[in-house]
Amino acid sequence: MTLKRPFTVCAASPTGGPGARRGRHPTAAGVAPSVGDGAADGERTLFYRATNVPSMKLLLGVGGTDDSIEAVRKTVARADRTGHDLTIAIVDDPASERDPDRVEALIREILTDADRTATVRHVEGDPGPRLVELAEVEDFDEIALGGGKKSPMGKIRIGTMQEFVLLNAHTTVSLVR
Amino acid sequence: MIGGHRYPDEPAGPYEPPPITFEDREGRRIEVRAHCGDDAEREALVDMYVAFDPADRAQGIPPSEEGRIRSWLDSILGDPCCNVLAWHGDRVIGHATLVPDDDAYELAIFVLQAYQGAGIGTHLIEALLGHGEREGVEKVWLTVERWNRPAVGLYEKIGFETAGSESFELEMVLRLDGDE
Repeated sequence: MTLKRPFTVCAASPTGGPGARRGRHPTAAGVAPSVGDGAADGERTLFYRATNVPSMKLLLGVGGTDDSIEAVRKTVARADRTGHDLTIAIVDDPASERDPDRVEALIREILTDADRTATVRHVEGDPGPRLVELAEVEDFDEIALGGGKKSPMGKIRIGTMQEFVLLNAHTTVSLVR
Repeated sequence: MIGGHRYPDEPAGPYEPPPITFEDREGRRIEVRAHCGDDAEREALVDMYVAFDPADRAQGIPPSEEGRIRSWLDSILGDPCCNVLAWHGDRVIGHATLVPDDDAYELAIFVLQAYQGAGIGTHLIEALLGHGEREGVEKVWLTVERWNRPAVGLYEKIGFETAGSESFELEMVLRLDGDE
């Protein structure tokens, strides 16, 4: 594999906590470093910090079900950590009881509370195919969706939009849990 | 999606309510009893789920960590729910439950790995449905992963009909003669 852009590689001592690690590797202007997970004792953690790399383009599809609104909260927080360029697409999900304007208002509220900006747009038509198309035409790196509704029993139930996107997208797909 | 099912006109069953005792295909003596709500039973059930193989998880349940198992059980062992437990000696090795959802009930069943394939699931579900009939339950639905053919076969044998196929799962329904 060839790296198209320069990467800095730094090795961290296994004893420093997450805070110490962040302090040791300050964020470059406009680019958030990826911070390694806590390593087990004796393991060495490598931190790869990209410099001058355009941020990843992330497309979050939101229909308005509870799990999709939760996905907005979590994805906005994630974009805040990673510096991803986030677009939130409001789609017509028949499983949603909220209308698109209400969904937009909720999204604006979440963004305001988190003090974040994101592109918010309405996408008409069959949500699965439209999201996959949008991701390809506009060169997104990843599609994120709600993690599925839960039945009274607590079973996770994936909807048709999620299934279509999982099976047809050419990008990485995340179901947010 | 949920609740919009068309249920069969004719009730399935009747099913024998718990307690029932039988010998499984491995020669083990198994007793199925309705959950009476006492703490010792609940602890035995927690032990079963702590020992449960994550490979047999279905659609995210049971959870795998004890704290999460306890809060999940809190939500399904409460009063309007129907629960039956399969015992081998003083150990719970199977659990089946009906959880209310509007005017219907969602069904799920779990059998500990070492006790699977021994005919316990059939007895356990039948006992649960017998318990449900006695409690006035009329409509039962469940979802099962499409590729889980053994489970689908078991549900069909018991009387469930396929109501729809939503993405990765099948929805199955059954009507009980649940007049009290």
